[in-house]
Amino acid sequence: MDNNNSNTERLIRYLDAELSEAESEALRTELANNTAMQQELDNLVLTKGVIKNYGLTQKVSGIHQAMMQELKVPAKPVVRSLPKMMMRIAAGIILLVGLFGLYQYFAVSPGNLYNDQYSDYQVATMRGTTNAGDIEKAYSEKKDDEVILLYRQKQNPSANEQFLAAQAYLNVSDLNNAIMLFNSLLEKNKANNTDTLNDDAEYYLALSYLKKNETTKALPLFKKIHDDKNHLYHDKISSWYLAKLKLLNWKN
Amino acid sequence: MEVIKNFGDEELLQVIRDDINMDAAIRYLYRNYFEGLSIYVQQNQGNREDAEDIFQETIVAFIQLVQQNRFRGDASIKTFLFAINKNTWLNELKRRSRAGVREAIFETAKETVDEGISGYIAGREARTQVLGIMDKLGEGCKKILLAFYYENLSMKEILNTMNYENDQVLRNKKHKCLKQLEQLLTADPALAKTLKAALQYGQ
Repeated sequence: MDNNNSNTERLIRYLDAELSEAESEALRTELANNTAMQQELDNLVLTKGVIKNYGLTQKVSGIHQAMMQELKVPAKPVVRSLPKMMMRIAAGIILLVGLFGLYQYFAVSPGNLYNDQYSDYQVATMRGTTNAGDIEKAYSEKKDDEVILLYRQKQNPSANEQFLAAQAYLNVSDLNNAIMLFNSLLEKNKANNTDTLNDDAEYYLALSYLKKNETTKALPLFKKIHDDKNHLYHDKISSWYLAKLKLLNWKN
Repeated sequence: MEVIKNFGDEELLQVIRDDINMDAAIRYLYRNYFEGLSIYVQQNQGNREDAEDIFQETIVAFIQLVQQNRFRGDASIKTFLFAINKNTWLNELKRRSRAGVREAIFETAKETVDEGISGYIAGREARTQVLGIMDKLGEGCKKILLAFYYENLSMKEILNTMNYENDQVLRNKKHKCLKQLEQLLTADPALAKTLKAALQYGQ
């Protein structure tokens, strides 16, 4: 029994590399002739291997949990409450409206609004005209310069002729003269208590101001036309168009 | 804050052989290979949990094979890990069911296993039993044996962390614990034989 214990003690010291070289050599010789002792050493070597394996397994297991936390991308189901969803929708709408507003802000310009609205004034639509004079004839032929020349030569131009001259000035982008003639026509109507081409003059005067980018003067005229259901050009001025005019005025 | 350490293949192998900075090496293996290797298990009848278990086994096997100089460097670390992971999982499938298609899959795939590591992988089940045996040891014994044989601490270092009168008392305790564990392991000759083949410590 003591001999067995002594052998085990020596084998463990051999396993732990605590024997001297001479003691180790003596043990190896002994092992070669003692199967039971060799078997015990094999078992001790196996036991040591098992301990090392267990230690490593424990270490990996400890790190494993931490690494799973680090590596896992949480794939949580997206659960949104109704109020939150509504808020998101509202935020989306506000964003869209904001972007649309931003687009309109940068897109709106006097030129755009003028082109949206302007159409050639057609002589055939002139009301109250019975005899076609030279100015009207030139205007019908789209000879704006000739209209202007003839108008300047007239001693006492009629309201119709003054209106066509204003149109000609507008067509050649002589906006100051166009505005002056439209305004003059409106003042004469007011003074004489008449309304010859009054609605037309108001509408084209507004367009003239717009083309000149004087939105503060154009806007009240357009608003008046929009608000007056009996105005000849009422249907042409929508609320949306008026809003864009206001935006342009604000931008200016 | 942890500094993430990256390794080249050679550096990683050296760190594992020298058993220094092992935690960083294990974390590196997880960060670089877990997702790739887990796909194989999950695409072959396994789930995420299986993939995690098999990867743990793979890491333990890889480290021990490197430390036993049984990784010859013929293939890259990635290829070697994939081979271990694949064969560990196929063995697990074989264990779960020895019939039908799974058996056929295993038998086909086994032909590709590096003969040098097949014995190690086949011992997975036996090593699982070892965990149960280790738990039969008292906490004190387990702590001493792990400190001495796994952490390679000296008796003096272990004495500083444990409540023993002196070095000799601790040494005696360690010898008794080792003998106790040996007896638990050899009580089942079949298990001892499988473990010996698996761990290859008897060479």
